Amino acid sequence: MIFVEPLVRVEGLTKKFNLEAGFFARFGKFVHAVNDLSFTIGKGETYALVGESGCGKTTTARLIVRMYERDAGTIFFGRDTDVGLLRGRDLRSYREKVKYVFQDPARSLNPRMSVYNVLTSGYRWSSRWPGARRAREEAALILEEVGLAPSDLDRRPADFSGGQRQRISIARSLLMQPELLICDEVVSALDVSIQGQILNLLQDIREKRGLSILFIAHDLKVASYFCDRIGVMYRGELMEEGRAQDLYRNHGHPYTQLLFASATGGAEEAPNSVTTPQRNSAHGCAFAHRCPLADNSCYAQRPEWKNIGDDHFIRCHKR
Amino acid sequence: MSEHSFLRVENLSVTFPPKDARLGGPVFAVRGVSWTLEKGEILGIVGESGSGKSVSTSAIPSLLPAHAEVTGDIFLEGKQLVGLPKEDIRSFRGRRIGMIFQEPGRSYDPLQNIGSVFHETLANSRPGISRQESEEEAIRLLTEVGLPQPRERLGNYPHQFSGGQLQRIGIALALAQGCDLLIADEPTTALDVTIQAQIVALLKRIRDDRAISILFISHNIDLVATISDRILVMYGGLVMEEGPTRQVLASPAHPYTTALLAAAPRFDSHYSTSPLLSIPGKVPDPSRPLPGCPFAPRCSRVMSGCRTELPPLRWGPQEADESLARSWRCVFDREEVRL
Amino acid sequence: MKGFYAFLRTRPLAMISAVFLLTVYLAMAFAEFIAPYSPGTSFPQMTYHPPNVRVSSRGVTAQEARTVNPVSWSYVRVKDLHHPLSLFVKGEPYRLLGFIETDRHLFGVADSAYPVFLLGADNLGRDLFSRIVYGSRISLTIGFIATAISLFLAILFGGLSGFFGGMTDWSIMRFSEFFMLIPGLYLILFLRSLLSSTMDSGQSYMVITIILSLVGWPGSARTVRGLVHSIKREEFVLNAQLEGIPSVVIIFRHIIPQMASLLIVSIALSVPGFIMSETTLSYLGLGIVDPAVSWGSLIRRDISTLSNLSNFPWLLSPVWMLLGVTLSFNFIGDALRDFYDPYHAVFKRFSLRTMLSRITGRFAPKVEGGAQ
Repeated sequence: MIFVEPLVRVEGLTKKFNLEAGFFARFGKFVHAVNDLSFTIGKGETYALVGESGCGKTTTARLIVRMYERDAGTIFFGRDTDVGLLRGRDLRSYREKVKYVFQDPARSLNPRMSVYNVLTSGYRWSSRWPGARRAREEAALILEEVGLAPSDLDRRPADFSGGQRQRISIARSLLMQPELLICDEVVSALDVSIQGQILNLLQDIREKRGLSILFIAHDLKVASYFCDRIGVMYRGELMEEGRAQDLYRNHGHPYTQLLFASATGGAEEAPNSVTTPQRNSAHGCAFAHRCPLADNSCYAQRPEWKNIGDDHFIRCHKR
Repeated sequence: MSEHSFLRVENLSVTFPPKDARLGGPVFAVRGVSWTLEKGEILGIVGESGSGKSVSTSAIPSLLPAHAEVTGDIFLEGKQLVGLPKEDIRSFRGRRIGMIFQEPGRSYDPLQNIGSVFHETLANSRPGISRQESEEEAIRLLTEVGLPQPRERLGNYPHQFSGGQLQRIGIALALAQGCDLLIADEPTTALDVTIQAQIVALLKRIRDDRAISILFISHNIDLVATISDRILVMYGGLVMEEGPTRQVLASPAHPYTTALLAAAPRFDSHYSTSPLLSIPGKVPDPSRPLPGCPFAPRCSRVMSGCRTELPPLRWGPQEADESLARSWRCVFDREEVRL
Repeated sequence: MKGFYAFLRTRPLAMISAVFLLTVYLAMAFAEFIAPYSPGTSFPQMTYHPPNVRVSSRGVTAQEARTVNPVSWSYVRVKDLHHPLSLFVKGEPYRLLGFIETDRHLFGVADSAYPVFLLGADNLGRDLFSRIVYGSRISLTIGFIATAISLFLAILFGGLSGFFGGMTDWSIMRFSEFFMLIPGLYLILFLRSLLSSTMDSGQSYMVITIILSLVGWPGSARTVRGLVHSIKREEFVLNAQLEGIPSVVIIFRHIIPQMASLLIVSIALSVPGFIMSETTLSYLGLGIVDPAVSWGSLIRRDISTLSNLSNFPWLLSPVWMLLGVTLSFNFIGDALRDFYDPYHAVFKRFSLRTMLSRITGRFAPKVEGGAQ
């Protein structure tokens, strides 16, 4: 499937965090959470950002909804809207079109509110609030769409299981008819037998509504199954990007290789060498310190983002 | 089930009476499980939340809260562990039974450096051991688990290590007193997948080098499959299936195992071509056990009898090699389920 | 609420406290009915008259007594002069609950032949029991009102401070420290000197209440601020911010309700504190003044001399009342805290079975079995 029209275009996105904060912060000690990141999500496409903890995938997602402010680069939404420049009413309307679903439904739903309030507390403040009665009807419809009952509107999140709470979380994000859904590890906290239910639910929803999804995951199997294209991140940079269906059989980057091998139980017992702190410079390849193929050129110069096939890109000197 | 197994669990049940009237009725975490573990064997225990996998294994070194009610038998090399008084249990913990946990960062006192933790642990079985000796032993153990630069790092504090390194240290500490049984309760769940693979390979090597037995508990059946010789599938406080890993995964006898394997996405499958089989319903509530098979509400092959009566345990054909024995708790015979 | 009632039944001490408090507050509401006399009514010949209610073969009576020594005010009971007590006697007229005109009192001597002193009389011959009953009105309510004002300020400032941080936080904290630094007593003296030197009882009540709350709020505000600060980082708050909900709404509708249980417990435990503060002030003469009555004003300098205490021990009655009320609030506060957080309960639930099993080694607690 080719998704021609881009919905989100990220170009050169960079975000640094100060390692030391407060009165005694010394400038210079910082972490590149996201480093010159560029990718595109097409309309109706599901794009995965995959990587291990600290790779910057969650930071990227939060930059897109402006939970954090970027240090450099641009995020474009729709045709040419620069997300970083939005203010006030425009920002609010952007946030109605791009919705964020959190990982842990136990913590992203206010435990003291009824499900109805959880669903509509934000809706109430939007420009499209249709009034209490109509909103209640819409909330009931949304609940049915995610597989719950309208009578659940008056219950509390604590009355539900983890999978059901995640459904409520998803329902909340759909209420204002978004165009892009950002799913931040939405199935990671669920039991295996429930994961499939939620993935199938998301599948139905995106088909019915033509939704685009940015799918943040650390589980390559889930990402390979559920998404159209996958971007592999390491220390704030994209190492490889390709079609989900092809990446398993046809990947190039040593880090991708390591991820796939670990997931299938074929990795070796190399001692954990991630003892160096996060890099704070842009020299050389981010993965060089762990790469079995690394040589001097890898440490000296950052590899270019090369196109090596159909929708297949890689950042490596050696491939 | 051999009488002379290294570890033998028979009809183990664990119930938590409510501490307070407000907290609801008793919780039937484990409802009668039996299995064995041989020397040098790795048994993988797979289950979702509420299956009772963690509670049943925590009962072995008596690490359950004081008000837990444990019935049944646990025999470690013939010695009964259930009901053992506190002082006697302490002689088992560390020296015969080692344990590592899910979040390695939480298991350490943040104000104590690693060298001092080793000294404390070693002094438990070797009272009067000198600092010098415990240091040397610690370095030996840390090298064995693959921690780089052990001598320099003895003075470091837990926050100076990564999650994977802390788990390696945890394994080293568990082995420090020369245990025969290592219980690993979701040891890699909180770690990245690349580190996960390393820890799993490390455990395998330790088993090969030291001939210890390992209980590996996880909710991830594929992960368990990479390490265990035999696998045990738990659901709702009961054992659903047990057998040699490869056989169970290749041809599961129980509908739950089949469903579990089918529900996880595999590489080389994509939503556009193959839909994902999902299991409807939710995991059972241990404080409200239903009569009959716990999986009945979600089973695609459920029969009327399944909901009212707990199916008996069935065994596969008698094998010469006992480690190839299979059992499952279902009304269906193995052949029927495979269809 | 129903859950709490069931919980109370496992906590006998808290149960007794609740019953006690309910009784006291009911008595307060019906003060005019229960007290035989109004607080100002004095019997000039009866200075320091001892309690004179006797239960004997004659029934419940009020016995007469005469002074033997007018200097030390020691009394002797007159042997056969008894006046029977009856219920619902006619007495001073008043308005029940403010609007029902009646003159019946709960108990008294018919025809008011001789005063009945349930708890004796004070230095002006006023019935102490009546004064205690009327005094409860001020003592018991001042605690609640001061708590309400104090809590309101604490939530308002603590919420804003904890959520916004930065300059807002800094300035609010400095502002609150101003109140923390000034000793309450000096604040009262200062305010008292600003206002007219003679205030009527209503005004003094207001002033004291306000002063108490002003002194009390910074401590709670700090607690609220800390909690808001940590809850602010929860995902449901992040989500609320993403949804465009105004910050003020987030603070007071989304975050503060998370602390509801904490606030309820803190109310139960701070009311007695305020009651005691009012008592101290009135004892020093800086609080409620005559003719208004509070328990603190009843514990006046009369009782601080040893000879007075040994001769007229009934003058300590307000102290016992205060003790009872304070302890009751504390026991209920403890019970509330355990109710909301059963996992960290300090005292285990009382069970006859457990006690018996500990003593005799038998009767171990049973649990119904499950599926095997």
